[in-house]
Parts: sequence; C-alpha cells; structure tokens
Amino acid sequence: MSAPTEIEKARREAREILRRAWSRQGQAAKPLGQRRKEQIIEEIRKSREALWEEKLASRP
Amino acid sequence: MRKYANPAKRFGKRNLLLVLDSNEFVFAFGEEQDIPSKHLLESITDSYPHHTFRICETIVKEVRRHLVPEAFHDFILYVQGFASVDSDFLVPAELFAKYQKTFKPGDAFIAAYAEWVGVQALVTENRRHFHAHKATLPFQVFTAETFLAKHR
Repeated sequence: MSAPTEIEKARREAREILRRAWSRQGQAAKPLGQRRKEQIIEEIRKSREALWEEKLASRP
Repeated sequence: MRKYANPAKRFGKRNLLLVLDSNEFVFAFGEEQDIPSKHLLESITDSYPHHTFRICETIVKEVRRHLVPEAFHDFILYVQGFASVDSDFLVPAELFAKYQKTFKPGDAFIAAYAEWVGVQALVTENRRHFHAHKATLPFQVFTAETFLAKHR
C-alpha cells in the first residue's frame, strides 16, 4: 500500500471505524479511574498468563 | 528467521514500527474508556504510514476475551486496515526462552514478539512488568500517554 490515495483511504476507513465504535459506546461508556484501570491491566495480564501456561502445558 | 524492513529508514524521517499491547485496544474499544489509549489509535491512524504497528494471535485472543462481540468486530476491522495478524508460531523459541528468564510466559512472549518483529517501541499500560525492565529491552517502552507526549 503505497499510493497516496490508498493510504488516505486506509486512514479514512480507520477513522470511520473508530468514530462508529466510540459513538456506539456513547452513554454506555464509563470513565476510567486509575484504580479500575490498574485492575483491568492486571486482569488482562492474568488471562494472558493463563493462556500461555495452558499453551506450554499442552506442548509435547 | 523472518525479518522485516525497518521503516525507520524510509523517507529520511523517524518512522516508528510499534507493537501495541492488548490493554491499549481493550481500553480504546472497551466499555471502560481510557482517553490516552483512544488518542493513541487516533494518532496512529492520522500518522499512518509514518507510524504503524504489528499484531500477533496472542494479542487478538486477549482482546477478544475482554471485549463484547460488537466491539471486538470493530477492533478486527480497525487492525485489518493496517496490519495482518502474525502467527504466534513464527516467533523463535530461543527468543521466547531468553525473555522467560525475566518475565512470566505471556509477557515473555510479547517481548520476544516485539524483538522478532524489530519494533522501535512497545506501547503498553503494564507499567509494573514491562516498564520495570525497559532498560534491558532492545526496544523502547511507552504508555499511550508517554508515547503521545513524545511522538505526536
């Protein structure tokens, strides 16, 4: 993807996806406090570790 | 070992190839908003292809676990515009083993993937683990906020 028109098309489509996603979140979206943010980071990290522990355990 | 061209050498500008950790996508597309993560995606979108990112199966799986289906669909549409999903199996076992000395397996894999891809930076909100070891890593580590402060 190198032609300027293709690049601009990719940018435009991506902006539209973000706009649509965020407008749908709209009122449902909750602002995130630092403590909750840390909790989510840790939840994601734990689930990644569980995924990899599982993956490593299933290796021959 | 498969290697990719370093975009930092194109155009005579400091282009950056990044790995965005799953937490950035979860905070940008999830129900609980984190403004810097959203601004990060906006900034990458607007600067494309000046800055771009790579993504692997592990990150996609994690994002899927933490988003509702509709938000996950948006995430997939978004990343497909910029990157293909790399198979986890492409990352050499010896790189993975190297990082297992410092990190638990999940984080070790992300570090190995970032090194294998040859990124200039990993953007993650995981300060406790990646940021604590950033001096020893062959790529820079930013949060969305620190990345935007330096590279916007």
